Amino acid sequence: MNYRSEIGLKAKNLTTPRLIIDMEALDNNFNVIADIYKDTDCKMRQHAKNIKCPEILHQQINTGGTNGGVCAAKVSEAELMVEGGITDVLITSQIVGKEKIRRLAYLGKRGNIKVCVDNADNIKQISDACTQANSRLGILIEVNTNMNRAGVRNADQGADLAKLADSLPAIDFLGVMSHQTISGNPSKNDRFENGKSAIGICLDVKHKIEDYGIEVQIVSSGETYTYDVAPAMEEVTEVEGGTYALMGTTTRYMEEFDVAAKVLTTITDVREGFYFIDAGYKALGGPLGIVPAVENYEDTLIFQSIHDYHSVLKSNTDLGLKPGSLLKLHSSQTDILVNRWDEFTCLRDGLVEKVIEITARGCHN
Amino acid sequence: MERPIPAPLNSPVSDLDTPALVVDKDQVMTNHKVFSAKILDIGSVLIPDVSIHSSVGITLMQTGGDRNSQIHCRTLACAEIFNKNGFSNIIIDQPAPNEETLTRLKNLSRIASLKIDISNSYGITEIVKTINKSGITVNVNLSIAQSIKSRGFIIGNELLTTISLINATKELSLTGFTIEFGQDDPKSISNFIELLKRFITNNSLQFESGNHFDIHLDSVADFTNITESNVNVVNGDYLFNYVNQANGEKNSCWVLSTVMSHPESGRWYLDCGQKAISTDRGFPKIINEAPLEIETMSAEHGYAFSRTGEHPIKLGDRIKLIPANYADTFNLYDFINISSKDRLTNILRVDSRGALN
Repeated sequence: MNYRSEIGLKAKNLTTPRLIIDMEALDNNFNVIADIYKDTDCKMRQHAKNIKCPEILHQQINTGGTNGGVCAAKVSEAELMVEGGITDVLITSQIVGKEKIRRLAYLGKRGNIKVCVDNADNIKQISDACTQANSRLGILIEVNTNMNRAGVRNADQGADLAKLADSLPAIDFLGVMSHQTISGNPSKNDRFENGKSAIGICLDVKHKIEDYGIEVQIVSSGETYTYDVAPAMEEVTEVEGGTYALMGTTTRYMEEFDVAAKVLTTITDVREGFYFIDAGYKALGGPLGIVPAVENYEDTLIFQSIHDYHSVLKSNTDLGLKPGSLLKLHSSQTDILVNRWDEFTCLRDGLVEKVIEITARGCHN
Repeated sequence: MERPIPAPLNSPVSDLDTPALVVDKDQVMTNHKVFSAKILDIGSVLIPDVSIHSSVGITLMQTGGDRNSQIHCRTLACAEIFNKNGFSNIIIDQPAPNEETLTRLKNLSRIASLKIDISNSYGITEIVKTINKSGITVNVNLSIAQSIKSRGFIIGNELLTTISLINATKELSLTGFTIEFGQDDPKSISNFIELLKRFITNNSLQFESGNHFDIHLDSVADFTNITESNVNVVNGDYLFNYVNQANGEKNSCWVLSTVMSHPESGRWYLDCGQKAISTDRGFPKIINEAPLEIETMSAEHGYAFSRTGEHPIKLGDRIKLIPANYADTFNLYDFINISSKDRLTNILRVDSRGALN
């Protein structure tokens, strides 16, 4: 690990581009979660896929509102969490392939690991691998609600898989899981209506499984846009929120959360209303064509083009910005953003408080 | 850091843990040979833009193992990493005009032969402040923009003033001009060079015989009309598909992905999403599995569908995805699986991945 020469520096003295965390915003976001889940049976199981860093995930666990565990998207991400001291991990993707399932089975010896499934052959392979590894894994049935991705398409499919998982050695059927989405800029009423409807589909599968006399201990559903919807549905036991921690421009309708992850960039040239900055695709990402927003200049400084290592912005008014001025950019999608960086530079009161390695960056496997 | 399950050398590529970035060395070498010959035909010199792949190992394929060959790095951090790996003749694109970066640049100048592309007078002024009386010489190329929306000097007074400043600063040496050309640029390369040369002549500026026009070429820009003799062509993604990024026959780079769910007829769910293949400039294309197409991608997963309904591909099968942009995708990986005849022959590091500042 390199010596962190940036500690204690002001933002203006940092080399750019740089991924920063506004620690006051992060504290706010974690406190919102701690407050809402303080007295509920349902708890937050924070998703690690956008933070990718056990130290920050521990911060939410210590602040409160969680069940002490996290979600991970991939086996390698789950391994990093266990190594980082978070041993209760739900892997929210299907894990396919002999070698990867073997690695998953052995991870079950090191922690309380659960994985989502939607296929009978996959359940049998996981059971076989755990038997060979002499380990145990928890099994959750993924339910398709409104995204048409993976997941069982109806309650009967879910019940059949639950019966199978319940019958096989070395695995424990634990429950059901779903992930849903909402588009646009929804009102609170829209969020509640959409969220309750989608999570209701997941609960239908739970009820069907229970009809067969199989206990369903876990209903893992909900995300940032339903963080306050899911705990109001008494059968939901945990919420898989991730985006709320760092926030992006596409979820700005969640006004109680602040944008914490930003890219610090330098203006390298200004010419006739065009502003050239030192951050491009490799620093920002522009997934699906959605460009970042510029903090404090959201309506006045607009992205014109993004290149590998620089971008061009345009303003129709004189903003008083010069070459050498710093800007902070807000990403539309922090998952994609964080995955491009090796470290967070954490700023509090305008000074670098700490620099944290993003240990699970690049954990695609 | 990426954590693939390591595969023994000589394993079938189809057995790699996925998602995996794969480069076919044989096709890379073919692409390099063909492209180099075309550059030679027009009397130009090819300078590898190593920031496309960020790999020392692939750069050595381009230079025939020669670490003294000139290479082009898009950031100072990339140049520092390549210098640590033995490369000492480096062009650096637009170092940020701040004190710490320029001090690092000065330090690197003491141990490597550098040429710096600068796009505005502010950048030159800041460099002059940093290297003043340092006893070192920094070679400078001035980036020339074709329009106000592009990075670089517009041909005019700011360019004249900057050239005068460089000529008056003994630590700076003007070595030429850099022009970026892409598919949409309206002017032909030769016409634009001619315009720039006329400007130089009309203003009684010296253009030394050893100076060059560095043409930073988008892979699809037409370079065949270059008629100047003192032109260097800077490019990197020709290695992976120099002709047409949608042409699978010439492609030498792909991301291998696994089908991880097949929840309903005509739809497949892949283990490769936007974190493992960039979608900043479009969705990837699926090789050799027509009529499968990528419908969309989430951060972690891809969604393939068939316009004609069912397809024999099943859970656990492997799919090859050609990225819409190679540089963006190399930047997501720490390792490159090098293949030959569908067997794994080497694993290379993406050495300067994430070297942005």
